[in-house]
Amino acid sequence: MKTSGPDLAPLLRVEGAQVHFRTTRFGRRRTVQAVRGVNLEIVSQETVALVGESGSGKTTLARAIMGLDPLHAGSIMLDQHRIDNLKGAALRSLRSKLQMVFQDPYSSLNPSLSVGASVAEPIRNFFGYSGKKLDGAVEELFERVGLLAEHRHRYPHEFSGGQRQRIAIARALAVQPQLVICDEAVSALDVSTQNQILSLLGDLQRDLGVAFLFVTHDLSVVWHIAHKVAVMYLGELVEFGPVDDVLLNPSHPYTQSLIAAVPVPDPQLARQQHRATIAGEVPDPANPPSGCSFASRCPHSISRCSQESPDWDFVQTPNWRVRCHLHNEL
Amino acid sequence: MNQHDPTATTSDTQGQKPATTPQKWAVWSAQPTSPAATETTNQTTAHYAGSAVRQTLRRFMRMRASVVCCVLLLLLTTVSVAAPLLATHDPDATDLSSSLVSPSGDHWLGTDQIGRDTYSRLIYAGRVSLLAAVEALVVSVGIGLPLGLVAGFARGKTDAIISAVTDAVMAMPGLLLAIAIIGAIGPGLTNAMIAVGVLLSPRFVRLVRASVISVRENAYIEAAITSGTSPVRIMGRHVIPNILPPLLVQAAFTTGFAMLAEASLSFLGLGVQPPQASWGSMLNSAYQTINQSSFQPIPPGIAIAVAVLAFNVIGDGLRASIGREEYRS
Amino acid sequence: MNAALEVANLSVSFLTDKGWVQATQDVSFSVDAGKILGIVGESGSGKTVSCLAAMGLLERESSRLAAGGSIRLGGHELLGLSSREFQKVRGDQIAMIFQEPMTSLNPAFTIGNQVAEGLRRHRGLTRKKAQQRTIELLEMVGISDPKATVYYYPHALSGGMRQRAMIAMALACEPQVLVADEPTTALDVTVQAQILDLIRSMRDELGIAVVLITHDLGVIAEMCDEVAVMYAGQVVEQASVDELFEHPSHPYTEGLLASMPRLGSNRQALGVVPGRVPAPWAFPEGCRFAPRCPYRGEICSNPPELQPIADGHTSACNRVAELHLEGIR
Repeated sequence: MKTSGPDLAPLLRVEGAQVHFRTTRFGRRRTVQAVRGVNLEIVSQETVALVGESGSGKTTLARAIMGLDPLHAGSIMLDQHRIDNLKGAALRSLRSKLQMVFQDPYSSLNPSLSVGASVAEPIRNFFGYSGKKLDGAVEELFERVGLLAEHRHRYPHEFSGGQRQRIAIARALAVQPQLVICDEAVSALDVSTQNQILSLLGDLQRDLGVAFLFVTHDLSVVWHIAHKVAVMYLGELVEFGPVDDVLLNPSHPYTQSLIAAVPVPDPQLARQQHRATIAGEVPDPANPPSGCSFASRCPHSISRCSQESPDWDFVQTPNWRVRCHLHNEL
Repeated sequence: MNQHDPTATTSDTQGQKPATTPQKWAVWSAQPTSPAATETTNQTTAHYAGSAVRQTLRRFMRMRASVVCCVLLLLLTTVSVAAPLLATHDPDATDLSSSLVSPSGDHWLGTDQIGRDTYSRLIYAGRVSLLAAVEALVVSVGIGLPLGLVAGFARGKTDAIISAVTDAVMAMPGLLLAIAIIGAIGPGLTNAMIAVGVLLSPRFVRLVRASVISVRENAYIEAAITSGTSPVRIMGRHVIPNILPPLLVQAAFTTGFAMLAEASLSFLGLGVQPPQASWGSMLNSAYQTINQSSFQPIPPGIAIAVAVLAFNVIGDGLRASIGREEYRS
Repeated sequence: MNAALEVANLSVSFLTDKGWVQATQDVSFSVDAGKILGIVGESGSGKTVSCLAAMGLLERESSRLAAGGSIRLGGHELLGLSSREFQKVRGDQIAMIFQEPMTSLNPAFTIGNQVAEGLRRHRGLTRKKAQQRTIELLEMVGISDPKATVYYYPHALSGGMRQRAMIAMALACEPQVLVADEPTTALDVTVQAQILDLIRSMRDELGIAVVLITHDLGVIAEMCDEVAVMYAGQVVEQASVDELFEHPSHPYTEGLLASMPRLGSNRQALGVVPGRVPAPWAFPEGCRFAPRCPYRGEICSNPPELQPIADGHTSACNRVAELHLEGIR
């Protein structure tokens, strides 16, 4: 039974978040607008998937929430406290509520530390445990994520990708965070290992009540893990809603084409329905188009789309929102 | 099913996961996955048991040439340390009656122009030469490591300034600069080695800076940041241990080079001051009497060549054995 | 009818820290002109190694092929050719594209240069003719401004465009066989769909045979005519794509199908194959899949043989006759 609902204040509230990067490309300085005004809410104990193509800004948004990339504008509230303007010690103490699991299990563990020491680090930093108490906590975490406790003295190179990701999850959960951001946490794994990790995350959510922000490009994974899905395109959210609604009846043309592009794992069905692939790739985020950012690739776009940026609109319920001028007609 | 309440739809799809799933393949959310049922560390990795340091050591031990050189250096060091016990004569005692004698039972490697026993001087000089090389190494690492760490971490303007100074020092001809520094602070072995150390420090600045920049890219640094680890601790625990391997390799080469530089400076009379001897100064004095005794330059010459070669071979061995399969073994 | 590519009994061994280790054992597959053969399996199953061996791309010093194997391209035996002779065949009659196009394109040359290189070497075209043909090829693979693109360097193109350029390069000499190793794994799902469409239309237009290596059963379902499932260096099942998805006859295939996440499927039905692929030096005796297999019995300590169980359907399971495995329907 879930107690969360629209009446409760959200655990995480992102408002008007913008992240800009200055880069040089072919010798010219330019500003890349990686995230362009995103609003996002996560209720406690729920899993929100953030999906989009590479270059959509999904990882940047996740990093901004973690405080790893600075916000250019907007605000981020965690548990009703503003967190995007924290610095130094205040920022460090916030980290216990917010943790991250990184994409590459091979670079996310320090090769010169035993895996137990990596997991112990946040516990010592935040809870001040040491000696037996610390070791006991690490032991418990190892067992919790399905690893043998005696393996905590080993070094990262002795583990497979899936095991390393379990260790990274143990480290993230060590300080009992309220929200864990998983940045493509299962993309580097074989499908069977991936499912084991997904299953573990589901168990942990049920037992510990942690919320997840799951950044991924894989929509079939989203189906199996998320409660809600946020679709991002060129630094903006274009659709946000419950996973069943968004993935089965997508109302934004971009969501529709993303879903249409997922290979159908059934040879007969695959032959019957010829996929309509969308042409082109994500435009240059340094020169985002005016109007709807998807207009240039959208099969349905009309002249209004490239002039006027669409506003959020409800689809059926206030929980399901979309930014498209035409979503009612499609 | 209530389509209008997303929490309801999601909770019943996620919540209702019966533990009695009939599928043989279903581990999906049955119980917490037991270690035995999932992946256990198996035979594949047992072979690699132990820390990265131990593995590196194991691989290094397989390189015969490097191991031989290590033994050789150890021997040289032992002999130098134990010089008072091993020497047959006072290294500084002159005996003009037996100048430039050939090797014999009394003088194993003969004597020099003023009758000092070459064997005794050689092992005493080994102390000076090895110590001098270590001095230069300490100075260059002492300058290079902190500057490199700062440059690699701070980036921006600080990095630009440090890198510019480094490049400027590297652009100057080495020995001439050393001679200039000695000219300023006065001759003497320690001064000479400080000069050499300063001269060699840019190599460490560059190496450390580049290593820090590449280590910083790893997600474990960000994981440490999100684990609430302080910047100083991140440096000490996550950065420095992972830049050590290239540093160690560079240290071996640098020691060899410093030894050579000491020999050159002492040969020119800018290093060790008489009556103390180093291999370089011995070579110098033997060189002046090469017409009378062609044997005298050989012992210090061989000593320098062997020691420098040993450091370089060890450096090569370290380079080949460190971090070969850091990831994805 | 002759298969376009016929690989038989290919056993590849590598020289590792532990001596010679056999990575694949008796791998056989064949693909006809105009057909797409999928090779599927987890990482470590030997799918890439088998194809690199068939392409003659394994390093000769650190790998070897056991006697008795054969690689026949359009009826001609390739095994035993010298590296030089192999080079003539490769790029001309058989070509390969890789997962990460950035690492297989040379960053120092323009796209035009690299596509034209094969044409000039294998076809002896003049610079001008090769350039003309290159532009046609780039247009054929869907690059929007081919006349400008020939002058671009690889880093100026997006991942999808680079993969298109790679395909143009592979198809430049109209090979009979195209080997695609995870060609879309590094790409976004929308771009993946475009590239898969392109490979399919090239197959239709040019009648080439395609070997498609992937870990994604969705890609297999969409693209392939025939499928070979590999596990721990062996082919464990081979069938037409419909047959394989509907009537898998090896437990590993069933496990893979059960653990395939599917949009809109029953959320509770997502399965897991417990454990992971062993390393080549730790392949179990008998049936290599047995330790992970829920159906294993005593008979599984015997090594199973790949045997026909229906027309065009082979399986290497000791218990194939007793088991009734579930497909996707």
